[in-house]
Amino acid sequence: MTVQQTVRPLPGQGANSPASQPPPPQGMWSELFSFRDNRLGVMLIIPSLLTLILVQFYPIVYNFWLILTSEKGEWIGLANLSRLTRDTIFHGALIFSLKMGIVVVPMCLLVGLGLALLVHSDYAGRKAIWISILIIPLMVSEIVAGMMWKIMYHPTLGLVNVPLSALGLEPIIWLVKADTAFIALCVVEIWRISPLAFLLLYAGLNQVPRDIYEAAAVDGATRWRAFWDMTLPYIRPMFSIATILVFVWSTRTIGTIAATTQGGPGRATWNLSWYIYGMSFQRLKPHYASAAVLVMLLMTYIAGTIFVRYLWVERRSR
Amino acid sequence: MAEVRIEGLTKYFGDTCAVNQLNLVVRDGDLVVLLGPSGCGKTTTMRCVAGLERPTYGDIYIGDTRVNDLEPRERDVALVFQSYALYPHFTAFDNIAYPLRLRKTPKDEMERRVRDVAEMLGITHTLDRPPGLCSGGEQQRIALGRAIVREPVVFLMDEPLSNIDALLRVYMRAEIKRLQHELGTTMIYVTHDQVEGMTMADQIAVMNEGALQQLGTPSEIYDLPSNNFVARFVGSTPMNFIPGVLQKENGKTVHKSDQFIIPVSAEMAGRAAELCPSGQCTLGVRPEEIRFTTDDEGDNQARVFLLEPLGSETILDIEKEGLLLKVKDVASTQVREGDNLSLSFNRFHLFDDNTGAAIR
Repeated sequence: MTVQQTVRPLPGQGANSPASQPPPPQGMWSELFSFRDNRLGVMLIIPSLLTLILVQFYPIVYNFWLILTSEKGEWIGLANLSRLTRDTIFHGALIFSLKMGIVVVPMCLLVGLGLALLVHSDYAGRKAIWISILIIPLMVSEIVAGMMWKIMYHPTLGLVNVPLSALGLEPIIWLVKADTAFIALCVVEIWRISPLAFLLLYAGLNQVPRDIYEAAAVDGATRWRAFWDMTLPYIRPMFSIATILVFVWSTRTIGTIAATTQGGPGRATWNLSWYIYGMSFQRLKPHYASAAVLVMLLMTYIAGTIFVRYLWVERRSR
Repeated sequence: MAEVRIEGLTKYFGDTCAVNQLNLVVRDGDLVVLLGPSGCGKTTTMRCVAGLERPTYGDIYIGDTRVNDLEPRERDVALVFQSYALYPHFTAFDNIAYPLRLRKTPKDEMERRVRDVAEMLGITHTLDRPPGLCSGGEQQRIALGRAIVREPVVFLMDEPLSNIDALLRVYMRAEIKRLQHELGTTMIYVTHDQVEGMTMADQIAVMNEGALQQLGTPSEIYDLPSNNFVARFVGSTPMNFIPGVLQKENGKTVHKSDQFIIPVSAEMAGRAAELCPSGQCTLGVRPEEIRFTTDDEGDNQARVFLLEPLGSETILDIEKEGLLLKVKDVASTQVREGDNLSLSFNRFHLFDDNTGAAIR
């Protein structure tokens, strides 16, 4: 750039600034109560606030009470938690949940993003029809989805084995071996949850203004580059929401396991939910199970914080 | 820097013809304004040049290259959008730097060029902010900066000033014109604001309903409109139109309407006889070309209906038998509402009623 020019202020800038300014407001509450309408508004939300405290916070507090007491109701401090650290079944369940999250979350996001891009593209005709077809798995209950896939995985009748036998291969008895059962469960979860990622990411894509793609194209970006520089940063907040939800959905799943493997073979497909269910309702140790609930809660909380921290970045720094 | 040549450009959207066989040459280094009402095809034309739309028929050349089949990024044009289309997730710096980043410009050179452009446009203080935290005028300058930072061969501007307030707009249009002069880059500037067009352009291309109406310098467009559309569209106080017919009276040709009898020069009458044998034509006269006296004599008497004082001048709304004329009074004579004036018509145009074309 060879042209040099001195800076000129925009008209209306700089001049005419007021000599003194009124003091800034004194904080949230004075702001909130400074209008009569606001006061009414605050009073109107009090009932729902109380309901929220009752249904949200009471169970959490109650859960802590359960953890700190034995099945007989005696105060035992942190004994339930320290017992958990020695419980190998619990360790297995925790690892299984995490393993499943590590496989299912990226796959769901990938499938969801792919579908969202396809439906959002100009080539998809009637978008409403595509969306209503693609979100069918979301409307199916976990148990029903599990039953359906159990039939699909059937060694002789199942749809999954049809192509294998057509190729002359031995049918795989999916749900009987630990590693194939893991894969089978992951597939069910991806089928069940990726529509959620699709829906969120599709909504995110619709937020991206069209003109910034055109600007990028004129500025010299290829489509691929525009996807990296425009689309991905723009849908980043949606991406982090989708990541959290998919993670929570996939780690807490219980209906799928109940309908397919029942935790088997052995305890190979026990996840945290299945462990907690088994502890509370089969072995009747709700106090001990509550400790596992706390661990699950913490795990979700930590993962959620990480996703928000590293994905939800509003703008790129230089 | 390059010439832009548009040959027979036609663009259909479904069955709608947005641009109809447009021919236009923008000379190297010229600032050409595409001027016309909404939906006249000016933006579509520009988008075809940018490569954001594909022409249905016709060719577009930038320099000697036919660019029809080139992607926008291969054309080396810069476009400033009406909406600015800034990247909201980038800072102003990154917005301006983006074209350079795509061209893999070395980091220190990029930094220097962005800072130079920002200084030139007076937006250095915004560089660390995202566009959402900048004012409309600053956003507009960021968009401008993004366009000029990479020194393209052609600038395209799509109503870049329509979203900022009136005062800033007057300032910015001079600024853009100055920039274009200094950089010497060919520019196509789209606007529906005829004042913007008149003040900025080297050449104005007036468009209507997808077709080019007239191409000429601002003074040609203003003084010698080629048809009644151009005459009506250009001029901040619009031209007055008086429908009537050419007749011979006492051996002289006059334009006779229900309200006025206006003598026509022999030269003009001769051409009118040739070009418009029916004699059915509308007389067009600019508000500043109507002279008036406060006499009660003379053929063309009319009553002042309303005064519109604008400070430096006053617009007189003059009414006669259902016809409303606007007359510019720059001398601030003491005319009052209800006064009778005697009018004389200094310079005027005749437009064929059948074709709308100017008789000249």
